[in-house]
Amino acid sequence: MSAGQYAPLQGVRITDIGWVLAVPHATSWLATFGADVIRVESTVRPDITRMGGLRNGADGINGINRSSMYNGVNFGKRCVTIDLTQSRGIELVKDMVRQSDIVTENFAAGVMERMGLGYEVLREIKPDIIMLSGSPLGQDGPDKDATGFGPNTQAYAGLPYITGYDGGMPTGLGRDYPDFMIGIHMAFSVLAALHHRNRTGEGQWIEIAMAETVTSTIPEAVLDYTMNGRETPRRGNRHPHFAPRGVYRSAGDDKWVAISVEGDEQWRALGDALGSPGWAADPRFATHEGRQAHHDEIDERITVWTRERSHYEAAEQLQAHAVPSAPVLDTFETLADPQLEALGTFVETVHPEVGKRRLAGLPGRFSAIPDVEYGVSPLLGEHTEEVLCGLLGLSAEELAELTEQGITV
Amino acid sequence: MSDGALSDLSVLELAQGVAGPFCGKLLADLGADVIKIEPPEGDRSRRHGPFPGDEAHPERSGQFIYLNHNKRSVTLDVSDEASRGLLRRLVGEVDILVIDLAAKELEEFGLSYEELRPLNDQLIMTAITPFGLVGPCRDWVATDFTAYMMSGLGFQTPYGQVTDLEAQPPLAGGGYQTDYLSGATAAAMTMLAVFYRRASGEGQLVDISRFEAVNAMLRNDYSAASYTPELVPPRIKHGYSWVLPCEDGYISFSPFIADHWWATFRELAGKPAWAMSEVFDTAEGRHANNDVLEALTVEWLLTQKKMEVYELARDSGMPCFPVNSMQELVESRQYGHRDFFVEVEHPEAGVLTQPGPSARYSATPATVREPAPPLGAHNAEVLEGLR
Repeated sequence: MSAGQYAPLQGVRITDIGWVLAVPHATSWLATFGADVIRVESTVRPDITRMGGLRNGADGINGINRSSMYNGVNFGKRCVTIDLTQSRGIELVKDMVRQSDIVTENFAAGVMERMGLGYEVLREIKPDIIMLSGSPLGQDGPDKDATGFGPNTQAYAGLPYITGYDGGMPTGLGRDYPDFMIGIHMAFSVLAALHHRNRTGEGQWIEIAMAETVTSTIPEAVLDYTMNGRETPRRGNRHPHFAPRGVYRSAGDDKWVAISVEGDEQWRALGDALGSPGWAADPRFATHEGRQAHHDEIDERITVWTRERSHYEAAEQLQAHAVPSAPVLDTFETLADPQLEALGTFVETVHPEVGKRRLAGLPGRFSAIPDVEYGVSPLLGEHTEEVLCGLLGLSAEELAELTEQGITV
Repeated sequence: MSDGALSDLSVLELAQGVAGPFCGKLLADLGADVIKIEPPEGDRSRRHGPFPGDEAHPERSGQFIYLNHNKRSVTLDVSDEASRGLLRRLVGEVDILVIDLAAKELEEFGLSYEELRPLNDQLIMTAITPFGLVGPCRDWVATDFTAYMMSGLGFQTPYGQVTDLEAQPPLAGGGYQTDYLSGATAAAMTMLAVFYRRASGEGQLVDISRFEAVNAMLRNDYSAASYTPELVPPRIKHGYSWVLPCEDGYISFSPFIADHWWATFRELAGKPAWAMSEVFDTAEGRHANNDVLEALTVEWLLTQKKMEVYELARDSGMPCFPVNSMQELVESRQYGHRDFFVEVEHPEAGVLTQPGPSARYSATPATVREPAPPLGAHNAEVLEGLR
């Protein structure tokens, strides 16, 4: 990264035994802002995001270093290969932990303990270590052994129950949304614990259950149940506080514009934006309750107008009257969106195997760090020698021996 | 004063609704001293609910109570110059300002970072706006819903499961995901600025866009678009469903992806003839015959109870979870064992059962020390010293 001389996390080292998406997303933030994140991987049990096959291979060519999914979330890190099924491998990880500030992992509950890398062990080796453990439902309790990915885990957590078309099935958000969302909570937690350690010298264990994190972001639905015994119904794009609210057909193939109106003033503004058609002055629509009651009819009227315009044009005309509205963009449209371009959202990295590729940077801008530089995702085992010999002080002969024994594979 | 991880940090929160207050809550739960500035009529989440017995009351809104415990409430009218004078005095004394005024309001009220920095060169100003402080949409207005829809995530909800493009438009996420996500993003970015200040001695502006925060959740798709564009998923159904119906509800089930899960599924389903078909032996075969496979699986699931399937899958190490309702969550054995839900006694609203913190810290637990404050409860305490 290029934060001048003040990279926020300069001097912080992380042994990252996390895999798939959630923990790697968290550590990508930390690596980008100066932490030395060393991923521990192996060919014995490769990170499944490296193994996506053609689904993820660059230019349709498969390869363990060519996965878009892996490379989209591991930028700026180093990678060593160590076989964690061998005791010598575990010793090497402990040697790394001795020189680390933070350890991150998201194996199933209990796996770290079984490998001899539980928090109590790591704390003995490095008393002020901060350890982050992520799992679907937590490290204790009757269901601690349940396994799942983000999309399954959000189901447990209640978010799909309140998401869906009117009267339809529960629905997940995106595919991997929960993993990435939880990764941000993880990054925050690690930073808070590091702040505490910097002040007091005290390390700690942070335990995050993915399901609990998701549930902590739907308190309104939880509280409506605990207060009033009521489940929040799935209502498609409609909402009790906003009317009309929805996505409306615009010109083009599967193009839509989103509109959300709250209160009488915005309703009048919507009418103005639509050119003050007579129907907008219908007294049946004058109140929020009336607009809820006649939502279908209002939607049809609005669609007559939106169909004649592109989604960007419609949103711009509505915004000119301060009506909350936006084009509904797909992946390729967001890649070309002028606002995201102005924010510098997408960045380019040059990877040794797959060349120049674009990825989504981290959201937000720091005035004191105007040019955040994004590193490249590591090749499998790219830094094994550098870390084992450079950091841990092994000799070339010792490394050769480990390689011979199949430990650094 | 608390002894939480962030108990040395003071925060001024001039923000309403969900995003800014959730950022403030994440900091406050770890011990930061958060002074919440509300307009004279109160934070709009005081009018949001849910309310006990559906009776609206500014001190009984569930959303407000959840988001604002551990904070102090001070009322100031930012459109009034004298109030802004007090606000500037407070800005001079805190570490962090979390603010959600629109870009043009920051300028109109003299609250831009350029104008506040001379008052406190160590100030970290975390500005949360719909679109960020620069760019052609800087002054656009937005809600949780419109930002979600523009971000690309709306187009992917439901993910790859649409069978009728016209009847199934891009779909809102339940609740207020844009805003909770933006608040968490702002909290993490704010902490990075705290580390920068520790190294440099200087504060800075942290510019958070809600639209961009959600957009960043699609990084897999952007990476795929850059590697193999034709593999970016379409909205129309193209892969396995993540949610399937069963006899008594729904289940999120993915036995089709890996061969060993599929073998496990064949066992736990009792090796029915349809599942044993050779066509489904390989991942490629299952993918190519997805529609048939899924229909047959649903036929079987409709004779099964979701908790029974879940428990069989769990014990076999196969990814699978029931789709829980709020009641099922509140009654969940697992959440119960972990005491995830916390009971918070609020003087006006009574005892409320609400979600606990999203992370457990062994040394510095996140805690609820004080319930959400009555509107302006700390005016005297905070403002007297300034006058």
